[in-house]
Amino acid sequence: MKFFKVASLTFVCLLLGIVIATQYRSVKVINSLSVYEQQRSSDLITDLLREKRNNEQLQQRINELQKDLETYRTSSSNVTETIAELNEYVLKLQILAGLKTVKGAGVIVSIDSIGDALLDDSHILSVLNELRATDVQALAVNDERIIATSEVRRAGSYMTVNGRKLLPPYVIKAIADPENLESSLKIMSGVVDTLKYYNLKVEVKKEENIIIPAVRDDGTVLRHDLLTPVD
Amino acid sequence: MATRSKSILFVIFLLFGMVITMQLRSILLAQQQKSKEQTSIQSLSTELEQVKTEGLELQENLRMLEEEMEEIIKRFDSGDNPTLNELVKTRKNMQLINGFTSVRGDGVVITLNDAPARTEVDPNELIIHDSDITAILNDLKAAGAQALAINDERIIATSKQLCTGPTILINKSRYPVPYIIKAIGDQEALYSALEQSESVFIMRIYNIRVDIRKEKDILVPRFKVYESIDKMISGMEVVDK
Repeated sequence: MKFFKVASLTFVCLLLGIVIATQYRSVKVINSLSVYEQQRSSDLITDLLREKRNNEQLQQRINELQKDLETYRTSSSNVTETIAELNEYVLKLQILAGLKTVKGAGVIVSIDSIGDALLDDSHILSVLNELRATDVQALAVNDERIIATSEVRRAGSYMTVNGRKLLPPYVIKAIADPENLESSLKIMSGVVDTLKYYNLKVEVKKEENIIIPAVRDDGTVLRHDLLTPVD
Repeated sequence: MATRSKSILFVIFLLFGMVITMQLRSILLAQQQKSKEQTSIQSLSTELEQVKTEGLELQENLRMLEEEMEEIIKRFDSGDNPTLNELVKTRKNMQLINGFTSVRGDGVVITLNDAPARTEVDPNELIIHDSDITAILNDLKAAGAQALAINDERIIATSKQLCTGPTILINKSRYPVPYIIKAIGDQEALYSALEQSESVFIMRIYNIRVDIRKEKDILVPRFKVYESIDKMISGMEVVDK
């Protein structure tokens, strides 16, 4: 009788232990599972928002192209109009390629080192990259226009951009779409906080009338002699 | 004695009952939550697929319009108006400078792939970051590259390369590894710039697979103009010098 009592008590306690352990484990699994699923759905939402925005922009481009096509079709008999239309398009491409000096509202980021802290090209590259991420439209470092093939290289205590020597402080100018300007500023202040850890003096300010010069036109910057166009 | 053991048993069974109820409830709750999240993930995935399909249709639509435009421009070129012929030529040249034209030429192709997973290292050091890509592009630009593309996304002045988790956002699309960078320019200069590149050296230390090859007649595709050109220059006003 006594043996039976002890045995049953042991059995019940054992069962209780097992059940508590299972309960503990299942709570942990459930937690990690929901973290994973939340991550997954937040990734999906980011993708979805980006794709939707891409589609909106595509639609805008389609509308623009349709309008241009319409103009050419109706002006096909009128050479003067066609020339005017073509001229307008060529001007847009020149602006886009950095062949024109432009003015607009935007962000100015100036960087200098404090004491003997090393100011590296990667710091400037990261600022440029972050600015690009906020959809800026024109960039320059110390008034050297940044185009598709512009490099930023540190050589000793100075930088070369487009093959030209630049001395600190480095003033990075960016013209932004007015709609994006505020978000550009906000994101850039985050970048500034990171750069401060490298003992760099960084300032970000908004300005209404930034002038960004055209790319140097002496045949050394814009080169395409090794490219064969494919139709 | 009997009351003591009875009261012990009573407490144990009380606990037992509580724990079982808790377990049952948490399982029920978890299942509810899971099905709720799964349906939301499922509906998000379907919506994403739909939006992507729409995007492909829009791209096809745009492609046809672009072809039509080129046809019209070609007709202008065959006319006998010298101003018009000159303008068509300038337009072509501007398209080329902006990267709106696919180009061919000799150069180098770099393939980057994450290091094989090892347990003793911080996984963050085994993957390729946007700063690695930026550094390599910068080395290539310094060595005189005239046209650049990552995973066939043409790099223009305002192209972004952003790290978003294990993938990188280039221009408007997200790409997983491997990253294939194509550069047209002076082959020897590009190749030696990469071989001497500090960033390539460091990546190799971390076992990131960096493969550099010289190649002839590389095709670097054109920049896909997937947004309004007016919008791309909306903030800029031309200043006469």
